[in-house]
Amino acid sequence: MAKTFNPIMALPEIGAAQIELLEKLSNASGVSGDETAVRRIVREALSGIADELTTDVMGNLIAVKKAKTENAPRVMIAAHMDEVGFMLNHKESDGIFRFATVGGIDPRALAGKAVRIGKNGVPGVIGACPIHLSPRGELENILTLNSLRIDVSPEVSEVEVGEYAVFATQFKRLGEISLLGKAFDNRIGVATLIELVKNAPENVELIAAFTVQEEVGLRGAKAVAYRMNPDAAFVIDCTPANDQPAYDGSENVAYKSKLDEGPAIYVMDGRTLYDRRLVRYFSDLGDSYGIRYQYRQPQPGGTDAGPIHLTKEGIPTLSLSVPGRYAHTAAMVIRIADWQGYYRLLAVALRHFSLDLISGERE
Amino acid sequence: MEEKFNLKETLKKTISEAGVSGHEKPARDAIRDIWAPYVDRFEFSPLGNLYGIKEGERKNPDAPKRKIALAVHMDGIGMVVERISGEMLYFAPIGGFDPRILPGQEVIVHSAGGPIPGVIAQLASHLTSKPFIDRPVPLSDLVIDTGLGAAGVREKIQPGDVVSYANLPVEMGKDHVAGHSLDNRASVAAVTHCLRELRRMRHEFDVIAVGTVQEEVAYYSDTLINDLRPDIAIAIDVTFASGPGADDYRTRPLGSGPSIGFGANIHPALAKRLCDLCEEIDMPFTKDPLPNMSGTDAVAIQTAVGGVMTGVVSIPLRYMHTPVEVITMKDVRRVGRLMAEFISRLSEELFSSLKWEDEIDGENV
Repeated sequence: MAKTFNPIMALPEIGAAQIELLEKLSNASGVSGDETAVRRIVREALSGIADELTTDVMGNLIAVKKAKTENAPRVMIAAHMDEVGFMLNHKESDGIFRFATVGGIDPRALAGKAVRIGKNGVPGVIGACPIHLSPRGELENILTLNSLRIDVSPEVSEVEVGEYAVFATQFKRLGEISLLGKAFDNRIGVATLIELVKNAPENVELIAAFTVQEEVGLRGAKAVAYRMNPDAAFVIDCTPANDQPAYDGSENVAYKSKLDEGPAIYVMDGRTLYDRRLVRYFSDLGDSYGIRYQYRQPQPGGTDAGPIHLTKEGIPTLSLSVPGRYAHTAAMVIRIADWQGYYRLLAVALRHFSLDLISGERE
Repeated sequence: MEEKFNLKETLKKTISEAGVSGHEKPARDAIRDIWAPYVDRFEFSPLGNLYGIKEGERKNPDAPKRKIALAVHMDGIGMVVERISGEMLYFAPIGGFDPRILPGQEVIVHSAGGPIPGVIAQLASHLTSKPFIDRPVPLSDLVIDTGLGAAGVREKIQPGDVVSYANLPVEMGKDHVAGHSLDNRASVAAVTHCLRELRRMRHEFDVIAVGTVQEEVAYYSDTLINDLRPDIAIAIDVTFASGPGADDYRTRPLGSGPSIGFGANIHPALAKRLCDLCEEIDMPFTKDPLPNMSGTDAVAIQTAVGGVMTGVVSIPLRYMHTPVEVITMKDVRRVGRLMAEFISRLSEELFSSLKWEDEIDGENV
């Protein structure tokens, strides 16, 4: 029997100011290991708002918003700040660099893209051989990292081996209902977590963990979870939506998540078997509030929940994601309405949270 | 009186406009505005060519009125919507390019109601016509996502809508520019520079700055010859600069100056004159051996209306037919200046000296 909740009516919303915040976050460079620019935006947004604001030795930024009630539950919400990107690893000639990918990037989506390098965002491009000079049959092969270079032009000498680079994509609105940008995985989570701290309820101690190095092995969250040891954790992220129609029009049954179906609740992924009590908590809330949600198809892939739920004695953890198309490429597409539902669901999940939910035995 | 002119800014402006072959109007409008201060009048051809005419001053009014055309194609490669599946647009290419550059590429769909932004996507392997794992996804399996939702797409987009690249110009250092359609808007900028140089030079020949169309799909420039009847026509285009992916004997460095075409497509006396002129004015240049056809508008120009004295001059460019073509403004200015220097020296006497080695004046008389 599903539990119903009496809706709290006054809830924060995603509007123009939040979209502007996402724009700033999406355009910022924050490859795993080099999250400083993103951390700076978060710190700026939350200084004077959070009760505690700490950067740990790995670079995780932890913002705490204290409860106004006694013995309040300590709930951690984790959003990773880092994105996939590149590192220059060899200078080949004037302005020409070999590079490696940081995190999982399909090399088939690299050629022909503009990039920005280092703290100053030095512009560069990833070119390809002119089709006129390509040997016969060459178009059947993948342009591997081994054959691609970042070119900053022979004129520019300030770029060095070891610097990070990101796609140069600039955030934009797509029509009325969608947004396009790089790194929505997971700046959408970062923007949402900033808003949750700004509008934190009184009944919980909110530990907002802006984590690092998620894309290279869920590493920052491991340290944060140990240090903060919360009663429960929600991991908020962006999950792939492979929801397009199949080429021949047949039913697409392996979509992972779908745009327009609302935030995706995780039941199982490659790293975590989720706590059923929290899964049900979120879906009951969605039903009570009329927030459209979906279950993320149990498929490989993982979130920061992987290390978090195994911390110390184990921490009850749930992941919730905005469905996003084309993760780990130059440009992602998300729906504003999915983001609104995600934010609303998290806002009510904090407001209704009590330790009773997780005090008994796990099912 | 003139407001501050910046050649690089005009180039950035022209590559920020769409000009997909057969649909050149946005580019043509921008180019016309840029050329307007430097020409006496414009004409337009039914096919879409732009003719900016700057009249010469003949020393001897009885001498024949001569014309030189500088032909630069305004069009660039692009795509066209072929079919619609839910929210996704399948598309076909316009012009030749390597489809491996497409996934993740931002585009503009030119719908009846106006431009619609979108992005080219490579779908998961179970959604393509067959699984493409460890091989490129062919163009026929790539899609454009406009984020409009299936209903929005149905309402706003039709098969047949033209698609252009949307990526913005990238400035690298002071003098390098990367972007789409630098093939051939870089040459448009060279002609702009030439027209500006000519303001402080005398020239006897009428100069016709020609923006041509549909070069990326065919060679239709014989129509411009039919319209204009020039005595000399020089096609200005881009050629392969050395760089990652293409570094062999067919390439020359960025910044190496004009590349002067040689081959069947080009009158040897004109090519030689251009090389000699580079020496005279101390301008670096390279020779561009074009053993068969030049792959430029010169292909159609040369044989039009009884044959025209034709030349090809090119700007070195990296990553041709990708959205991140790279040029240096130094080469653009040099090509423009070379054209101006050539035009200012053109006289009836010089023109009649541009002959085949064994050609005899008044043969058969």
